[in-house]
Amino acid sequence: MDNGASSYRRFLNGDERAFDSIMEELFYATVFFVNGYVRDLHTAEDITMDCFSDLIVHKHRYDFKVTLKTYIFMLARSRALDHIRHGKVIRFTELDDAVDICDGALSLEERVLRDERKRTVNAALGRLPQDMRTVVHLIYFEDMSYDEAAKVMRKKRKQIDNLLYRAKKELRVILGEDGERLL
Amino acid sequence: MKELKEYKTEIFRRSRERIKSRKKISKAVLIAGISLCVCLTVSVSIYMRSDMRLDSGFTVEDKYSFNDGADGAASESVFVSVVIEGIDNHDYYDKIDDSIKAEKAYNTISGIFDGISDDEDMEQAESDINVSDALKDVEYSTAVQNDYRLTFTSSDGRKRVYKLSRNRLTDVETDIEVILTAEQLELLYIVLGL
Repeated sequence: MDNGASSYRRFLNGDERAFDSIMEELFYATVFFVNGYVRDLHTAEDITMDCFSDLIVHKHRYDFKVTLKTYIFMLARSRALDHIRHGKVIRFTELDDAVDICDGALSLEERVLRDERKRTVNAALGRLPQDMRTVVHLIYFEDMSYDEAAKVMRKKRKQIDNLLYRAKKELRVILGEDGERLL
Repeated sequence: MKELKEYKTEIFRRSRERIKSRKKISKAVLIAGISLCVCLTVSVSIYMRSDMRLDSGFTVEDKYSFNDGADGAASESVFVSVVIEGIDNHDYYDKIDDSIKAEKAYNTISGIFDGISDDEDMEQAESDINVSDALKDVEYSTAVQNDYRLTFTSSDGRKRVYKLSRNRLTDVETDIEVILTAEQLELLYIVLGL
């Protein structure tokens, strides 16, 4: 499994259906990842669509040196941070719409996290600082290696190691006795 | 949550728009680049033409006298008279009204100034100082030893003033001084009728 690189190669060679398999494999995971930053499902979808659109517009920017998943997550993180930096707009949502959004977030979690253990950890993640949340997400939810997570977060491997260690420590406190079992 | 198919449609729509806007931008950049190149080429060619005009015999004065008239009358004026006044000896006054003689005298003086235009000639002129110093006892014993002001007047009223002091000839306008050799001094005396 090459996390979409071979599908992307086929897409570059003119096979448009290959894009579907990339979407199936990576789209919801990316939305879920971006949502961790922006905490707004619609914005997360928007940012993710822009990232996937990058794959079509800038066809030769991806050099196949990292997995396609890592590449897309790098794009997504950078776009999400840009959004947070530049788009500090507080949006008010009607209560009825909020229920829909909430349902959407839950259904997204169901789609991405089929494992009960992961869902419990994900619920506790919201109380961690941004960097720790991201590193736990990439390592435990996206099954990335430390090197891949380091590339996505533009940090050194050692920093990822330290962040994860501290994140686990925090999570143990948050999750209590159950945390020991889950982690 | 929408279905993947809807997301895909939206992604492709956005991509098409972005590709279109990128093409527009690259076209605009290309047009701006081409027009910049054309502007540069035109300005460089204008600059080179004016340079070539200077190189092909025009003097700086000529360059700036294009506005004097379409026929360039100012640059074609000739000196028609020269007034010679004694500086020490105020009684001395002479005027050459013969335009040929006046022009000849002016050409002689111009020739003397042109002769020291480059460095080599300057060095030559420096070495001539010693010669002329050596000869000055001989020269001034026979020639008229006064200082003179030479005022050349052209057909259009333009004036050039020179000062001849012993063996030194000075262009009053530019303050350039030439030390004359014995031969030059003799020739100058002859053309001025001194």
